[in-house]
Amino acid sequence: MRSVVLLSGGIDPVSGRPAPPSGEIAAIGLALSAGGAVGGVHVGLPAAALGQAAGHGLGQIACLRGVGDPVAILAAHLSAAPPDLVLAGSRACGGEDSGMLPYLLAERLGWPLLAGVVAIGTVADGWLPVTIGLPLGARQDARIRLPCILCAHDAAPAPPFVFDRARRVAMHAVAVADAETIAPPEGTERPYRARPRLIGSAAPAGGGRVLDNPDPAEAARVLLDHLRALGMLDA
Amino acid sequence: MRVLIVGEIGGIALAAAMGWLVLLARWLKGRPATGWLAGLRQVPRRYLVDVHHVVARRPAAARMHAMAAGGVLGGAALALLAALLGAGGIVWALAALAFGMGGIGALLVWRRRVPKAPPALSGGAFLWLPAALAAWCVGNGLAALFMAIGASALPVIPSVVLGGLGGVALLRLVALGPMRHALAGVAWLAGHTRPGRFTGKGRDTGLRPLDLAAPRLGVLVPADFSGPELAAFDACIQCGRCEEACPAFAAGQRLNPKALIQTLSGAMRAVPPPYAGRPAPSVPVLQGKGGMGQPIVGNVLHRDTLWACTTCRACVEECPMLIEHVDAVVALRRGQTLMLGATRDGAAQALRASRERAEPGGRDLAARGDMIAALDMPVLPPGGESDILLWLGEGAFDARYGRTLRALVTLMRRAGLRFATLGADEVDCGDLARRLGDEATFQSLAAEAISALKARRFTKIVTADPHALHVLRNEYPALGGRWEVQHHTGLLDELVRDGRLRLERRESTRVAYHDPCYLGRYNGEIDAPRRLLDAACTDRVEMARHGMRAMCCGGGGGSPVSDVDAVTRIPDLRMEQARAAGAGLVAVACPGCTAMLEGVTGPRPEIRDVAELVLAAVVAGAMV
Repeated sequence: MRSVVLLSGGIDPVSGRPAPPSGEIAAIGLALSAGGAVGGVHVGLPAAALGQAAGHGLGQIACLRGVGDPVAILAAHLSAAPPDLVLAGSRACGGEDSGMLPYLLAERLGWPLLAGVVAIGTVADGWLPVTIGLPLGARQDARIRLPCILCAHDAAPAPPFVFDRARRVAMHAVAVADAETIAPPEGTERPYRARPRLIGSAAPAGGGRVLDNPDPAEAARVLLDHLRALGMLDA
Repeated sequence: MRVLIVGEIGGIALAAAMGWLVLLARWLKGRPATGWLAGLRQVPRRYLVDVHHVVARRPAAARMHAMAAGGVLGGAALALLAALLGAGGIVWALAALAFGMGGIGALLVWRRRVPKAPPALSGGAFLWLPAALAAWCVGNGLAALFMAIGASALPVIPSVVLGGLGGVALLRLVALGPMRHALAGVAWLAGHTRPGRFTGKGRDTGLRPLDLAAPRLGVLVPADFSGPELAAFDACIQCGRCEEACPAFAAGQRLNPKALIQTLSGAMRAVPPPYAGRPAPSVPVLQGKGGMGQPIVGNVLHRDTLWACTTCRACVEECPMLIEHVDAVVALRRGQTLMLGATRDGAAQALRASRERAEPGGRDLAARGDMIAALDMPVLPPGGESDILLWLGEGAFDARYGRTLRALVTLMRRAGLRFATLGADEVDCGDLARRLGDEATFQSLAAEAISALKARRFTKIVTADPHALHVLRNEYPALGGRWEVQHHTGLLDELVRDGRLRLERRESTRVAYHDPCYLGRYNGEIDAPRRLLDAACTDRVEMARHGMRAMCCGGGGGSPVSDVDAVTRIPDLRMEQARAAGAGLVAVACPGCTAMLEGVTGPRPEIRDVAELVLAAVVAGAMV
């Protein structure tokens, strides 16, 4: 089992100082719990947050030195020597980060992705059992085929920070081919404005029907009628 | 006859010297120490002056020790001298006198535990100590007496045999512990890791910086301690004064400083002699095996013991062997934190916030001044100049301590002082990180603080936080930051003395001053706050434990963030002492003490900072 943890040049939201995001620390924890070789990958120059992330359990971090779309750079790097598992946080904290990177990467590599992972089990027949954290502490078991991308839940157990590991990390720069530049995002930007709460006011009080063990087609028809009655679907 | 006596006393002395070398060989497996042997010439002075100074706080113990130790050693030296040189009866008589004194000493040693042994004293092999001392002194004393009066060989031989048996028993007690302090103490006093305690101000309390490039950071196994430190653990005489003073022990936390030192001494040995003192409260028996290369924490020492320490130095203050308990705790914490990341959860959060936000509470540095925002404090920009730099400290985030700071700032304004703060450039001084063993975070915070301070010009730093005071005054110099640092009580005392603030005593309830550990024991400042209170209040009383021997509030050393199990809370115990002194108001001088003592629930004396009481009493200032 070889795992790669995607690391960002994290910034602490309060202090603005370099700091690994909690999700990435949790991702390192998941990678360690999977066993086998674990390495970090960062696109860009070595950042201070990387050393701190390494303190949570990474022996080495590859810094991919290329210009252009980090998704393309990562995809090229990962498909050259595909690991079994790619782990990421749910969202970086660098300011411009959208949290889309793992999804775009999965799309480009054609790998499956699961988000909100709090624990992983042992591989059987090429399938990896994982536990996904849902709101209010609920847990859901799932399994995913390797190789895959997992986004760690922010609340997944975080391995402790060990200064001795942080100071021993081997950070090596890897020269990679430049990738295409990122296309500017579509759509227009406009300032946020408060929107009226639609759901609460749109739903009429009472009404509805209770169906006990209905036929699926019947249930779908009732739901559609109900939504049409509310005006949420075109008649 | 003389040959017999030389053989007996000399043989025992030689065997003791051999035993010392065996111990030395074990201590030398620790980290090397420079100038250890050269320190041997300091030993008599350190022993007779510094050790005795502590022992003599309990006169009965001092008398006992002087007679027993003086008799055992002095009698032996005189008898050996007489036997070797063939001296006359007078030297033999003197030897007999000394042994006689030692015999009385042995009796006092016996009386110490009979009819009732104080709970802080160890039992076990210690119960044999009076008999061994008595046999040595009575046997040899009789022999010397017979030699003095020129008696025949007949009574001398059994006396020498008795003395020899006593000597063998004493040697056995070296191995078992009770007499080991005599041999190990010499090595420890020669290589004491804080020589500053014996020179100048007689105080040396700052932690030493750690070389962060060293392969092993802190202590994981006994061999990671320096040689003299290992000797210190062996030098413990188990008198239990430390455990009587320890606030964590009193609160039922899993720490007993005496048991801790005995555990560290035992950790050096695969088969340590049994410990017959009180253990740390509610600590399960650990089955681990000791050895110079065996892990200490979790193996022979319970993890919680490490995090219960408030680093208040009460144990160090009480220790007659001048052992540095707190240094040992911090060294072990450094190993756990830096090498293993094995801190308690709460401490790990505080350390992460210290790393990532330069503030253990994780708060925005720009919010530090919020509690005194109404006072419109000037902020010193880089390159700026002022007379006094006011270091706000971590307490400034707290609304309660904001009142203290507002009182202080108001007083400083009334005295016409020119001062400013660092504003958002003030990072945490690193005290908490350092006490929790995270030397790396401490050094990075210290470097940032020092460079922020060096970018500004001022005459001195004033702070209301004794922890910041200690770090800035005593620990930054080793990292290149040297400034005059003053506690706010010292500054206010100066202002009152110089007439820049005039106080009028306010009728008040009885006021007891609670000494912060980091102001009192760490910095020796116990008089200025009392002078201020005497000038501001009509009725001041002392708690039973005060000044250099005050009890900790429980707030230091990262203990509050370490979620330590306890039977009761340390501040509750301290508040009980204030009540016992009849105090209706407890004066404090530290944000930590303020928070801890105000956290005591139920009806209790009021808590006021010295600055608040001074402000209430001030009738005139230079600017009024």
